Amino acid sequence: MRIPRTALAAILIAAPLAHAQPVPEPDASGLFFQNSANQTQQATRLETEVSIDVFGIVARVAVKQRFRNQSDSWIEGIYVFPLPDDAAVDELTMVIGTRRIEGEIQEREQAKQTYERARAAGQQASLVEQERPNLFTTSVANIAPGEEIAIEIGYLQTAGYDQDEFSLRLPMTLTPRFIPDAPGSIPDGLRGLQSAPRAPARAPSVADANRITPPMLPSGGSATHSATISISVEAGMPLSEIGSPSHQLTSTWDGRVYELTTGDRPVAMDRDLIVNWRVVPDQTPRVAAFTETLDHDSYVLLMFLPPTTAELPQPTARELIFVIDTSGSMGGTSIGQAKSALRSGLDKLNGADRFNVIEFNSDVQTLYSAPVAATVQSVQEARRFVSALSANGGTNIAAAITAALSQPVNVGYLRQIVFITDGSVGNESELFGMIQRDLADARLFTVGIGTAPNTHFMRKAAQFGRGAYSHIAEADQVEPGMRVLFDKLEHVALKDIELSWPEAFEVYPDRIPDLYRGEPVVVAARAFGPLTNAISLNATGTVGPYSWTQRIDVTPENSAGIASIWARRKIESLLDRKLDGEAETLIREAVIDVALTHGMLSPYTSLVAVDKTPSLTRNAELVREALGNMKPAGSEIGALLGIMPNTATDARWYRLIGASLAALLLGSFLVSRTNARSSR
Amino acid sequence: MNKPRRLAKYGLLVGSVTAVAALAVGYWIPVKAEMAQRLLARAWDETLAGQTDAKPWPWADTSPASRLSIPSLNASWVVLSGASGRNLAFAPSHMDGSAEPGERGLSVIAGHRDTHFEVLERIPVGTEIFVEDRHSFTHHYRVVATEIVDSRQTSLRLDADTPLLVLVTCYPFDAISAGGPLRYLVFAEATGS
Repeated sequence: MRIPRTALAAILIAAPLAHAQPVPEPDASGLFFQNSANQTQQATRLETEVSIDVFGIVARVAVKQRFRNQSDSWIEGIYVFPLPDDAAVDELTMVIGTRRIEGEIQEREQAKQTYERARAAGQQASLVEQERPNLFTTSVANIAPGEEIAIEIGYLQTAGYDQDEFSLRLPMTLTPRFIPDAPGSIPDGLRGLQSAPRAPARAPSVADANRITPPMLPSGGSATHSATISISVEAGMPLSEIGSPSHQLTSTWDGRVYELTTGDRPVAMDRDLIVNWRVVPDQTPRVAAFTETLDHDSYVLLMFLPPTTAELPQPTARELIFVIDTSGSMGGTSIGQAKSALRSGLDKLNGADRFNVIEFNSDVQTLYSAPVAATVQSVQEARRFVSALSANGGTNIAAAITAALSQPVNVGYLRQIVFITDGSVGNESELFGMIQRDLADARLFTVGIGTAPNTHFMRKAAQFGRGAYSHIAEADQVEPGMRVLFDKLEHVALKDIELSWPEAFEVYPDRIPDLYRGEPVVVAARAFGPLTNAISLNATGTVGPYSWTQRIDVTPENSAGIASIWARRKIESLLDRKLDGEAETLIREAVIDVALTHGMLSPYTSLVAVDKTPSLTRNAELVREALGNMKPAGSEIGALLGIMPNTATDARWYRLIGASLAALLLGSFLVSRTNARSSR
Repeated sequence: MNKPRRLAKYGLLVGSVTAVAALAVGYWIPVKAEMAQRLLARAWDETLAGQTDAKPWPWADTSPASRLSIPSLNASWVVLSGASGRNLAFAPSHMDGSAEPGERGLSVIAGHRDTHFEVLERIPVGTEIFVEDRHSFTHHYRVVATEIVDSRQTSLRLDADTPLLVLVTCYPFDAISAGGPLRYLVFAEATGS
């Protein structure tokens, strides 16, 4: 029976490897899918080397993915992998033996054709495409049997800064994303399997669902998907601490640069890498500015801390709506952390606050029909409600957002929504649109849970929700994480922040968002022509009833990568305009223009590298293999998503052994009797 | 009696004991699976009678989750909660974290291909499946598809928008040794309760 392969896509996250079969082209939906029952082992082994160089607040990261073909077939490896959601990816190098082939930037469709032509011609080629701001696909064609091809991807990002702490996050794996179906319909996966001819496929809510749901591998202890990490941090100022809450790294200091490394023991790629550092108190500079001159233009990256008048407590009465994600992807340690974060939030309520609790998976359940006063009884009741929660079902975030934003309004209360989730959804832009449209006077704060949350969703949801986001990766971060969050919730935000750039500068973000306690202003600017003199800016803003002014001086120096960071921020800003209803064709054109100029990956541009030297003749068919991602550490979804249980007993084996042994014994007994008789 | 003969005799003895033991284990496994179901049936009746956490035997660390029936195959089992290897020896088991019967999302019940779920080899599309939950509600499902997948390469999505059921067992049904990568999946969708 030939079942339409796309049909099960809604249920099976699958991309099995083919074994010595003709190369299937992706079908119309772009699904990498081939099933075969005679497979023996995963053909491609993946190792990753990460090297991060931090200078000030700018990090240059090189991610080297080594694809080793362990099979006898020629392989095309396809790997969907995450990067930080603000990564400015501007380098691709393909390494074959000692040869290095530089990649080039092309429009997405053109790059794909370049790659496919090379693949068909038997040339070694690689393609890196952006699926989401934090999700990418590497394709590597014509890896010969036993051969290795390495892909080096280079990107820039800025270190995060919040509450006197710098941090960098490098995602290593992803939490499987929920792709919602149209409400009330049978998932495509089952429709169409019932009878032929197949009903026309309903348009899925996420057109590229197949491209963002790679297969999952069990976490840890695997022969593939290991990483070595080395980080060097030159902060430019004395540090009081530096370390990683996520990984065991050995660190050394030579008086100027901190080096952190996994040493020669690779780590499993089952959790995000996090590195944090703190500057010695009192030495924290309030302004950091970096400049670069590239192709006669100047670029500035500016980060500064607004004045500490932000100590003003929130004067208005608050109404907190806690929203907790109890979908299946939260299974394992995540749900426990989410529940304790929520309990910690409930404990921090004071008598004047009002609150409500909403839990969601496939369905939304609200504790009270409208927010209630935080009395001893209501908080107690909420704690009981939270304790009974468990994780299963889908991630219907849209319904939860609607439920939170449509709670009856109490005049005179500031509504703050605390959204606790792993953000494992594929329909991000639809959700951002909803938040922007329905936010009104509420503020949305996201709390990312788990070892591999969707940081893109967390950050942008908080941006459109005019709040802030925070992460809780481990159980011991719940209390400090919630304390930081409540610090933000309990203090007045800084508003109306403006910078008096000279006219020639093009600045992103074009509007500076409200800031919460401990958050810096970060902007990137460009001017035509070189920057010869220092420039002075006035930063102004309001906090509660007060206004403030701060003078900032930017002195020209030369840091590499500032231009790329500016370009990346411009692209993000352009893409955000989609939500304001600007035509996609115009946005696309503008993004392609920036991306091609700066050689940068975007939704509309890809990096492609082709080895022009003719490869060994491929004398067999190419086998396509989709590489998986490791189940995030602590997550239980792997029990379901990755690993189906062993569902056979050893009964037959024992019977076979027993019966064979008995037959053997009987046989030898008969033989020995015959021998004994004949020798008599 | 010379030495080689004595050795042969020993070998014969050890071999016979091993053979008998292996055969005993081999035939005991299905018997255990069958007997466990009888004990579980009693625990299930107690569960339906309102007893929470009814234990099938005093030292059990699991409790019945539902009763799964396929009338056309003349099959019915009490399902345990938690698809651990130990539970599977006694009963088909509901995987933690997957949807409860009747709830939106994918409900996953796994069973051994050579004991309880042996009969799934001949389950046609359209077959009716009933799942009775702890509150005596019976959820009706209809088989819509069967599929053979490689468990190393394939995952199940639990987040469907409608109530779905999947029965998981090993494949091929007649393989001698356990631990193979292939799984036989029976998908069913809810038709009402």
